[in-house]
Amino acid sequence: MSQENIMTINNVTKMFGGIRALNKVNVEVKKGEILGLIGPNGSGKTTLFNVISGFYPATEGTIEFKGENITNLSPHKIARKGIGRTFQIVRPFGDMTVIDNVLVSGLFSGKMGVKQCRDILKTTRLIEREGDLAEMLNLAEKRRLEIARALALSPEILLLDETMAGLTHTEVDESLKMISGIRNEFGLTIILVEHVMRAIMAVSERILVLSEGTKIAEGSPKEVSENEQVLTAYLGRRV
Amino acid sequence: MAMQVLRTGLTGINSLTISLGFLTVIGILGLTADTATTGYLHAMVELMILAYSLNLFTGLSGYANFGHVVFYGLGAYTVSVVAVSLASMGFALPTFMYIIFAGIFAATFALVIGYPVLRLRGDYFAIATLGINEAVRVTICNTPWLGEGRGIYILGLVPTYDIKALYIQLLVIAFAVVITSYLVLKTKLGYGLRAIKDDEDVAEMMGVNTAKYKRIAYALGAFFAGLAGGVVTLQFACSFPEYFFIGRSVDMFVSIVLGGTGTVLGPMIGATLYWMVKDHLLISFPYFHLIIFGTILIILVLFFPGGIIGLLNRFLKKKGRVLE
Ligand SMILES: Nc1ncnc2c1ncn2[C@@H]1O[C@H](COP(=O)(O)OP(=O)(O)O)[C@@H](O)[C@H]1O
Ligand SMILES: [Mg+2]
Repeated sequence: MSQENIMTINNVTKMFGGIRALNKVNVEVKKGEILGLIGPNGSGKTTLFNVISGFYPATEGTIEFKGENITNLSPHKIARKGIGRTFQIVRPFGDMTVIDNVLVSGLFSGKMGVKQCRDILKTTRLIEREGDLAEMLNLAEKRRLEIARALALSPEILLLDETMAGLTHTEVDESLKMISGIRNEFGLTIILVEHVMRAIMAVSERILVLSEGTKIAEGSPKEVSENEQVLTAYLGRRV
Repeated sequence: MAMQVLRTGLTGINSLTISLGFLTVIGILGLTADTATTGYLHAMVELMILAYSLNLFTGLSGYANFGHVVFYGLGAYTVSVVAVSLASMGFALPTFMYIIFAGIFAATFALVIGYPVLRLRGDYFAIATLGINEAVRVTICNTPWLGEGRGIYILGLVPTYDIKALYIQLLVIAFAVVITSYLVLKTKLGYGLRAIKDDEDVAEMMGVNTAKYKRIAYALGAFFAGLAGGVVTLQFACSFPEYFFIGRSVDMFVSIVLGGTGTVLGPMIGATLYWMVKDHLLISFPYFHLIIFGTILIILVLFFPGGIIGLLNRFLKKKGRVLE
């Protein structure tokens, strides 16, 4: 893995009225890595994704993607530059078929047609359901559809927000295999938010910990799991 | 914009062929029938065009545009203003040119007004569209050179025509709007709009320039409504403030909801049925029919959101086919 940065998050703060959802967060994302992002509920993980994808403007700070400042770009421009994402609470286009869901991002990124979108459905094991309405899918399938849709943007960075929550043990294993597979096949950089600890520890090369909007630790899975501040934030007690 | 026609999923029945075939039949009927029947069918085709024009924007994007009639009224006034101006300079154009002016003016108005108004969503957008229609109507009613409440008469200022010649022009517009609807549905624009209808924020984050695509669809719908408005001025040799009557918006809405919003065949089925039923009810119950239609609209929205096409598709899907 090269040590080249693909994205740099500089001092990003996000306020919601009086709530400081992100507090001067700095992250350097390395090209090709799987970066785990963890933290208790409400620590700002989803907000960070929303700021990166341009859905919320940052109150302060900047985000650079491949050396370019993308901080105030509209979300569709950021998506087309190569940043794809999923949603913690799944949001497929329910009234559209599975293939049409994927085609939307394929067409609008200008990078994929029907054939390539079908290939993505094969990779995400949804090809059998391509003609079904997205709302007919079960939760695990909807989660995969969100990944498929993001992949059709032909992204360089993929932001996955709790794509394993609510899945069975076997489904989590399959999902892990798929994520590693996708990274290798597409040469992606992935930022992964997950509560399933064994999952995040298994696939992440580096882990970043947020607590109340502040970055409290960063390092290898082993380092982070032994960090006292992290244990306190997570378990609410000193170990 | 890519004009690649996309084929995915079930497309067993070609709605475009059915729609164009039906329109051809109506066309031939109108051209061969007596004047009264032609007049009846003329009004029906006009409603079809308006329904399709509303469907292009509202049906696909999900933005409830209750003030769509404003584009019809503006188209109507464009024709009389252009006719009066040209006549004062001593010349006139072939009739279809006036109609094209009407479409272009309505679309331009939509592009401009779309900038602020398409930032609004949901109820706010719907209310704003009503406000725009009312503002335009009141402005006209208070502007002397626009005829105030009396309207603008153009009798003798444009080339003479007969009802059949005008009917042919209306049919050309109808064919154009049906084909346009099909192309929009099957190309990138339609995909963007359907995504917006489902979840605008997600559409934006999946690369759809939502502001741009809403504006394109809004202007496209306005263009066809403007054309229909242009024809009506030529038909009655006058444009009145009554052309902004909000009941016309209701007609279009019921038509697309009845037939099936966002489809190619829906507006045609909806407008045809609605027109036939309305004509009967209007004669038997001059005011009461409004209550009947209000009730029908509520029942449709609550229980049959997909309209007639939606109902048919419930059965067709079991056979692996679908109407669009
Ligand atoms: N749209 C919003 N408006 C107001 N507060 C918000 C909004 N989105 C998130 N927050 C707040 O920001 C904080 C971080 O939330 P979030 O990023 O969703 O946390 P996480 O994903 O880590 O569970 C929480 O206190 C949450 O209530
Ligand atoms: Mg979250």
